[in-house]
Parts: sequence; C-alpha cells; structure tokens
Amino acid sequence: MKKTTLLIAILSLTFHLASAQEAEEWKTEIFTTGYFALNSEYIHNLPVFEEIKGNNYGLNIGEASVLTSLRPLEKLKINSVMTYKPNLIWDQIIAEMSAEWTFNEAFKLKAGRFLLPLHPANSQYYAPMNIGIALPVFITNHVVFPLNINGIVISGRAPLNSTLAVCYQLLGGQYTKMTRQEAGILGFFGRDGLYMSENSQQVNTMVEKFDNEDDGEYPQFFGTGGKLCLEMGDIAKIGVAGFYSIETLNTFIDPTTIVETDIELIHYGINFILNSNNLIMKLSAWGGTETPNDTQNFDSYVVELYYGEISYTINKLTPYTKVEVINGRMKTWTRTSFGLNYRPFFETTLKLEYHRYLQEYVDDFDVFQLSAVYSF
Amino acid sequence: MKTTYRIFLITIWMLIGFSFVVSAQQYKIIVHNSNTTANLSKKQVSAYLLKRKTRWPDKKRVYPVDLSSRSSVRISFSKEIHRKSVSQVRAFWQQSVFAGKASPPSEKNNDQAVIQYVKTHQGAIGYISNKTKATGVKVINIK
Repeated sequence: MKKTTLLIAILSLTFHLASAQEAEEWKTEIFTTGYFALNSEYIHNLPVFEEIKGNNYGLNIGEASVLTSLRPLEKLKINSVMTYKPNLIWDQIIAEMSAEWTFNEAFKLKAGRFLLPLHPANSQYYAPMNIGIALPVFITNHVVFPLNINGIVISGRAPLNSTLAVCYQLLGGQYTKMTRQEAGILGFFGRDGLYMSENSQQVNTMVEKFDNEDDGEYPQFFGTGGKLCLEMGDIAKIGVAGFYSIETLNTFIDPTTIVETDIELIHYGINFILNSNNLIMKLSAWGGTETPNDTQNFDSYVVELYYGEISYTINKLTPYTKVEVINGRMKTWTRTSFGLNYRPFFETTLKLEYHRYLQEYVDDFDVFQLSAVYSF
Repeated sequence: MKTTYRIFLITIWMLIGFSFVVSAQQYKIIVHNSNTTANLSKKQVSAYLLKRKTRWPDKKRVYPVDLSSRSSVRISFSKEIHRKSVSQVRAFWQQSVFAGKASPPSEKNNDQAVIQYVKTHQGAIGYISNKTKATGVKVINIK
C-alpha cells in the first residue's frame, strides 16, 4: 500500500514538475475544425436492391465531423473526432479519442481510440481526407483489419539522412467487428455483395436476418499489429505491416443448431505512397490466412487484397481513379471507380464519383455519387 | 510617326515598370530580436511555417504565426514561399489535423498583431507587409 502511494506521489510530482517546466515556454494549443457533406447516390440497374429498399436514389447528409485537438503541453496531444454518418452505431460516433505523449520523435505513446494506422486508406474515413466519396470496400465490409481500435500504439520516426527516415508503429487493443453494417445514404455500401444476386427472396431473407442481428451490440475482439516504413522525403513512403487477431464465427449446421468457433486471422501487406508534382499514387497488396479451430464445420480461407488509387491535381480540379480487388471469404470482388474532386475554395469541395462492380454473377450495374463538402 | 514611336516606347516602359511593381515581394519575414539567424531560403521559411522544422539551429522551439487567410500579404506569401494557394495550405492543415500530425499556426488579423506575437515569443517567425515598419523585431533576408 505504502509502495503504491509512494509511486503515485512520485509520478504526480514528476508530471507536475514536467508540466511546470513546460508551462514556462509552452502556450496551450487548441484547434477545432470540421465539415459536413451533403451526398447524393443513384444505383442503376440493380433490381434486387430497388425491390427490397424501394428506392435507388437519395439525397441526405452523408457525413459530418468535428475534430478538436488540444495540446496543453508540448509533449502531450489530445485528439477527438466526433463523426456522424447514416446508419452508424452510437458507439462509433466517437471515431477517435486519444492522448499521445511524445517522449521524443523516435518514441511516442498513444492511448485511446484511434484509426488503425496500418493502411493509408483507413485515414480516408473523413471526407476531406478522401479524394472520393465512397470508402474502400475493405473498410465498409471490415475485411483484413478494423477501421479503428481501442488500445495503445507506440510509434516513432528516425531520420537516416537528410531525405530518408524510418518509421514504425506497434499497436494492440480491442476492436468492434461490424460486418454487414450499412453505409452510405442508401445503405448499399457495406452490404454491396448481398444485393448482387437475382434471387430477391433469398436476399430479402438475409437482409431481415442481418437487420434482426443489428441491435447495435457488435462483438469485440483483441488484435495486435505493427508497421515498419521508409520515408523518402515528402515524395515517397513504403511500408510493410501486419495484423493478428482471433475472432469468433458462428454458423447454422441445420435449421435449429448453431455452432461457433474461434478463427485465427493473420494478415500482412505492403503499402506504397508516391506524392510528386501534383500526382498522388497509393498502392497496396495484402494477403493472409483465416483459419478456424473447427475445421469440420468451417472453411479456411486465403485472403488477398489489392488496392490502387491515382490522382492528379490540375489547379483546383483533381481527377482520380481507384481499383480494388478482394479474394477471400466474400469470393472475388472487384470495383473500379472514377471521379472528379473540385475544390475552388478551402471551404467548398464538390465530388463526383462513378463505381463499376465487375462481378460475374450479376448483370452490370453502376453506382453514381455526388457530394458537396463544406469545411470550417 | 515620331509621336507613335514615343507612345510605343512609353507603353513598353510602363509595362516593364508595372511588371516590377506586380512581382515585387509584398512581405518581409520577421523573427524575435534574439534570433541569431540572418538569412533563410524560401524552402526553410516554408518548412518553419508548415511545422516541418520545429527547432531553430540553436534548438529553440519554433513558433510560427500566420496572417489571416483573407490577407493579401498571405496570398502573396503562400504563392511565393509555399508555392501553393492559401486554400491549398489550409487544406494541407486540415488533412494534417485529421491525420493527427499537427495543427496550424495561430492566425493574426493584422501586421501589428503578428509583430506583437513575434516580440513576445523567442522562437517566433512570421511575416508582415513590406510597407509595415518592423519595430522591435528582426527582419530576415531571403536567400
């Protein structure tokens, strides 16, 4: 008891002294920013979706976020992002809430909820960070790794010379598995694969099943991962990353019997970002295995994920294209997107995006999106 | 003919003169009086203002300060130093904040407020109009 009291006293005193020393020079920084986006969607030639949802177009608030960054000490940064998106569960309205302590540039410790920093596309969760409108399929469908995690991350960056630097991130924590959660103003994204069928009765049964399961109580699992990267000035960044977790999976083996198993997920990949002369290119290739304990009732899968995004800014206009290929539990999944991002002023961004899903088991259909983002 | 020739020459002279006026630097870089730096390149100034460099050579912390985004001096400064429009720089800060990297420098409404900030912060760096007298602060030469 005495030892604990003494330890707390020493820690408090150290923190107080550090704060006092910082306070001599440091002026508290506080910064608030945000945005809201008005989105419009139109889904062309997907009869099953239209039949079940009763609509294939819509206009609504697609997203709104407020970010507050507080830096009371030079070494301490507190960040929070509150986000609204249609169909988002209450728990995920707090997209980020974390405190980071910088011991030095090579060693930082962050605790709280934060976007998983293993893939460049995860940061596209916020409209101003996303050149397009829709999030990548692997984010809305929670493939390979979660969007955010509640835990800790140790990160750092060390320069090798004037242009090269190495960086790393090691993290662990609990995350919410939210597969089958609807995204977008029509609720199409996140369940995209479900509607790519010609059997509307079967799809309707699945939709009802998912809706009944969707009571806002999603399972939580523990995961751990890391990233090692090499930065070449502001021009290029290459990194290798991995994520490990154990989740549970259940299935009906007959109409009345449900079985459950633990499934070991091992995913790893390589990310590359090029940012040169108005050209931004993001490429990544991920793979992995998903192995259940119960191999009698569940299948093992090998997962592959390829993501590419290229944009080129000409004055205020940025045309871009994206392609995603996913092989795994969701079968093969390919989506190509083309779009225009126009930002005449800081406050106003207009986006137009077109998606084409290249599946074999459904007639060709298209998704069009339009977004007006106001930043403040 | 002579009159036409004279008008032509005067027009050329005025055009050249006007182009000098337009391209003349509209801002000057200021730092705290105790700062020992005498010259900076445009790239270095940009790095300090965008918080890519956070320490002076003597290890003092850098406190960048911006003018309001509506200021014509900031428009000129952004174009020449960052090679970006003010909107692009603000978009850079927005992305930086959402990525959890850094928040933008504090913004002041006028030159006097920038001078006051620089006077009271040892590691401060800012910019003001070329026409404003930089009293109590040090003006840095751009290499």
